[in-house]
Amino acid sequence: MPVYERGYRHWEPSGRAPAAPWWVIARRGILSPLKRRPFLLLLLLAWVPAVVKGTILYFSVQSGDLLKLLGGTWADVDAAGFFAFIERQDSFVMILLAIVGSPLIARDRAENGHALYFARPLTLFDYVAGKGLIALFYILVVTLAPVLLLAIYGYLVTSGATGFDMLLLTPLRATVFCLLTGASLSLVLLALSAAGRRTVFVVLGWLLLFSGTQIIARILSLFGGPWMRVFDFRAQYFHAGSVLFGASPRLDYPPLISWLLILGWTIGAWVFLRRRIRPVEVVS
Amino acid sequence: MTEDARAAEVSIGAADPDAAPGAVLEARRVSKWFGEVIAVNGSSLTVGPGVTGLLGLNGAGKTTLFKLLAGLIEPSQGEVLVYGRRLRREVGLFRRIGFCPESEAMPDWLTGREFIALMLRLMGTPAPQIGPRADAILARLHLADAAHRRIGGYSKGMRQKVKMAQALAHDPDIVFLDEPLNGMDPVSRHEIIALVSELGRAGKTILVSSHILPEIETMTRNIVLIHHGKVLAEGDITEIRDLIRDRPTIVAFTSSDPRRLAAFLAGQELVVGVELDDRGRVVARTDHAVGFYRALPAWLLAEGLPVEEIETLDDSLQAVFDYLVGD
Amino acid sequence: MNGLGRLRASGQPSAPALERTLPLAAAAFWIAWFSWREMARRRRLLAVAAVMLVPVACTVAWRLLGSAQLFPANVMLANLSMLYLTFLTVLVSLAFGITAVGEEIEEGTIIYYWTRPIGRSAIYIGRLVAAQTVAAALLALSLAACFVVMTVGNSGVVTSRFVELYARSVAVVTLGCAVYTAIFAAMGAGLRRPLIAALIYAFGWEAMTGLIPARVQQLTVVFHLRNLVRNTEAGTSSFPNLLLELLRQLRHEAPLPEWRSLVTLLLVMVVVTGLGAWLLRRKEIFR
Repeated sequence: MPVYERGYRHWEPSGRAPAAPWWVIARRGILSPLKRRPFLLLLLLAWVPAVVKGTILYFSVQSGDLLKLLGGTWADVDAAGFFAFIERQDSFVMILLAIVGSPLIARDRAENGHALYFARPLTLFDYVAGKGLIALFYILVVTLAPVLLLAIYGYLVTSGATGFDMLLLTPLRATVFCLLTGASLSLVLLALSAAGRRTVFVVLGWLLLFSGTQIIARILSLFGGPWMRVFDFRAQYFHAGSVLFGASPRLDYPPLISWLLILGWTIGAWVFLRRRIRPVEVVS
Repeated sequence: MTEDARAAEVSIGAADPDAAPGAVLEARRVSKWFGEVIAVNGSSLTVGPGVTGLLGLNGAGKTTLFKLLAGLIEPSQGEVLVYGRRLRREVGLFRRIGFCPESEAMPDWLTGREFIALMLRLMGTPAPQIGPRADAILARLHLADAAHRRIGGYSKGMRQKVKMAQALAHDPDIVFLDEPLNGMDPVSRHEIIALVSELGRAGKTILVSSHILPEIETMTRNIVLIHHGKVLAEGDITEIRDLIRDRPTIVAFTSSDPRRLAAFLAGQELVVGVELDDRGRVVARTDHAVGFYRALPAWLLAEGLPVEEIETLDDSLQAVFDYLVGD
Repeated sequence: MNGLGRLRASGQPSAPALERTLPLAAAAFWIAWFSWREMARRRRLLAVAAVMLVPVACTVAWRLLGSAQLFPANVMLANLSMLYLTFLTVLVSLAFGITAVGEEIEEGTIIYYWTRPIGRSAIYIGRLVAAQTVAAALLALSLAACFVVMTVGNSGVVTSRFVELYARSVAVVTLGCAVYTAIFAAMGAGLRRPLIAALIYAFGWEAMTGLIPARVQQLTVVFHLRNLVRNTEAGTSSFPNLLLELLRQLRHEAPLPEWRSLVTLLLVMVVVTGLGAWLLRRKEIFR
């Protein structure tokens, strides 16, 4: 073959461009962590509380009030019980998102991937939506999915709750809560990921935000009063969510404050992402 | 010039009088596999002083063999010897080795001079010699102006030169250069090729890996060709070419009397075919290029055959490579 | 040719002298020295230092808002100690530990060390010591800044007991940092994806196992670190600690002697450092 023919070849694309480019990004991002065995193990581990709750539900029905009393919110099949379950999944959400979400944009930045992405017919929205969906998917896998299954299971094995509550209202509440908080958490995590190039440091920022602010806010509230809990990043979501589930408020100020705070940092994260993600790297 | 500075002069081109003649690097039936993938399969080779090119297609096992020889990975089977000893067991031997990796990763937060100084320090270079040696090698590679800038701000070609500098700063006897010309501009390429050739002529053992054949050809005619994890050929390009019997070597002669020359060549045992091409040249084919070239001057003189130009059409590295690899 | 191309001086060393291996301590020292210089120039140091200002800001808030009667200095110190021991120490150690050797392996720059006449243990120890000292220094400086904020213009706080507790907190945090950094560095040297393992260890094993009563807790680093500051108010200042103390008393468990915790932590550090160095010796990279 002559040398000139070994070089550049014009590529004639066949077929049509995908209707939803964000889905191409999301599908790839969702599937690739599943190939790692430690990650699958972690995902399985995240479902252990659901199995425990299911077992407690079953035996509390069989053994009556004693186990129900001992089981606490684990044995509850009302909305508040499921809300407490989602709250308990927090550690898994934190670790899973740290693993899956931290490199989403940081790695692209480190490897100059944005130039490749945006050389295609792709908008910023497609890119962020695709990446955000990856994080959202894993949030839903360990929160909403077990709740929906447990609601159906709870309806089948217990007799206390009505079908309207168990099969419609609770799943609806859980879906709205998990989607809203999931979308917000995903955007915040993406913003953090866009702030750095090294995954390990994005993870540290995420841990500080998720876990560190909780400890710090608790210390501050000991001498500064309950309002100091506004510094607790994660608690805002559950305080705001308590309204949806009709559960007792988690903090000592109106849940509206938490809604506003969440809205504020979610918009902030989007604005930051818009400024940070550029198809062309500007070299000073 | 101070005593220290004089001692620190990088003696590029200095032959080591203690260097053993013959094999410096030796691989004995070396295999390396990763899971079920065999990267290098029972290969043996010897590398002596001078420049040797290590060639192979992508995925041929070139990099694995390179790293095995440099002691960076342990063979699954067989052994690799440097001066007859095992490098992995005697890390002190690294004092006589310079290694320039292909990977572009470098400690970007150090300046070029700091990096070279660190590498020299870890080589055990006496403290007073470190600065002068670092300066000398950076100057040699035209990096003196950038010596105090962070490596992170260097261009690709400059990074390549710093990698070369750290491999040569301590005046090693054996130098491994993995794709040394990557990312370099034409002028720098020319300089590095000249430097490598100079080191080879001075008796250093230089192993250069590259997939750009003309570049290797400008540095050396001595090659190791690896394909599918096996060493296919080892030695001088012409000699290797001569061993490829199923593809006769093609030699073109420009002559003022092409018909007489063609008739004479056709009668020689070493010649398997003669023809005239469209440019009026006599094109002869031989199965024994070495014997042919040896006999040729005597034939031409004895017969008084006029020959203005002789050109071997397919003993280039590319031709040898294509024949052996079957492209 | 810039003075190049000369033959070696006549007094050049012979081959055996040329092939001398650099002593471990010297090689480790120079690697650590250049690692410090490298770390000092990276933005990540500033980022971690900024995080270390958070407890200082908390202490400032305590000075401005806190009531000395309701929330005295020693209780604030106990809470700060717990913040450092259970969270910040792990966070900072993770940042510097995982990257200490793991980053060099991941990026391939370790090849420059591997082709020097030095043992791989020296490379490991040099990088680890640099990471440990920088991480511990950041934590200790942050604690020192908290001390300054707590005591300046508040001389009534400075009693010998308070200073002793503070010094003990600094020592335990520094020790904890050294141990955690060694653990994370070994993970970085041995695992392809150390971050997952490190997160599961730090926020799974250390956090969850620490809540299980009885001897299972002794398998965590944080238990021994807490044991070393048990004599402070931190031991019972929070609800989980109070509960654990109660459970321990119900089970008639004597608290572990401090020397045992100290020996355990030092032993863990030595063992994981040895393991990390061994893993690095066996490591092969292909880039």
